[in-house]
Amino acid sequence: MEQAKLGDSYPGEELGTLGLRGLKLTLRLCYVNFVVYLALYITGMYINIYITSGVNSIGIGDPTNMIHMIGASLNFAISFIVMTVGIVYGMRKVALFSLGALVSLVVATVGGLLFLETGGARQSGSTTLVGGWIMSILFMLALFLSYYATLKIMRATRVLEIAKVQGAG
Amino acid sequence: MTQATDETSQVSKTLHRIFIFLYLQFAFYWATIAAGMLVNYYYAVPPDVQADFSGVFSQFFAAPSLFAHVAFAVLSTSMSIPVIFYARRVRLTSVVLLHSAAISCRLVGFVTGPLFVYYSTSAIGNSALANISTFTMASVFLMAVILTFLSRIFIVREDVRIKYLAVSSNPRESSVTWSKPS
Repeated sequence: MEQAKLGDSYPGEELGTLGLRGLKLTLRLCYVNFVVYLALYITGMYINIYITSGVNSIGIGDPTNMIHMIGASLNFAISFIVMTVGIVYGMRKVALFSLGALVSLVVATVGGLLFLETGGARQSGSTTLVGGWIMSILFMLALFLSYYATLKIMRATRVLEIAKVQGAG
Repeated sequence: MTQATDETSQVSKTLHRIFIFLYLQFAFYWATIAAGMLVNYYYAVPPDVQADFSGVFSQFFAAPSLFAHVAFAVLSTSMSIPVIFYARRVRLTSVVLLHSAAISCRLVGFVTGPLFVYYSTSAIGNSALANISTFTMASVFLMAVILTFLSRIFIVREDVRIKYLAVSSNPRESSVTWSKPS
């Protein structure tokens, strides 16, 4: 009820019903998500440059690939939690951006598996390259969408902080 | 009070301009990444490239994907200049520092990128250093993306602050131009 009143005081802002403490916790989770994205990017770059190097292939059981896939699973889990928070606590844009990130991650994983199953090297053929393309582009899209969801949470947090200060004043 | 609200309105407009340049910067990031993937999958340094400045430099115009990759990287870097200009105007020191650091990271990338071509030429043929050059280029590029992402957090915080703290001081007289929430 109180949260609904706050929403009326700040038109155009999507504050949700989670409250300041919950929002701060979700924001921390989003930051963890970015660290995992960073690990995913670095392991992907390592595989691309040092393992496949344009000619060699990589299998699903390769240790670096396993770390890469664990990272992607963590990204999926965190984005799923953020999406659920968005749906349950009435933050439509957060839910939509996170849903977009989730879909991107799922399709990117399919692309990655296609890359591995059709040879796992850049010279394995056009299907392998298509898999690589899907994986890379959609991973970046997931990163951007998660980032926008984070900005929405950050904005709501900031507005609630100001409301708290104004309420105290 | 009117002077204060005029100032607030000016800051809001400036922040709105910064948002526009950041959107452009992100669009150019995407284009750089897409072109970079084309380079990654389809480009290989030809065996007849000379291991000198003109030989390496001419490669940027030899393949459309490489040209697009470099051009978009330059464009995304240059978007930090108006952001710094406007951030200085509204005294957002953190944003100025973050974008200056992002430009510095990119400059490192602009050195290691050509070094990759240099070490990949048949005359030099040092794959270890070529790999390190590519890895460095990709890492500093990522660092630049993270720094500019962080800058946006400060801009959003400032946007919210000037909107609501300024409005609350005098809600009726405020002439703040409310930019679209980002």
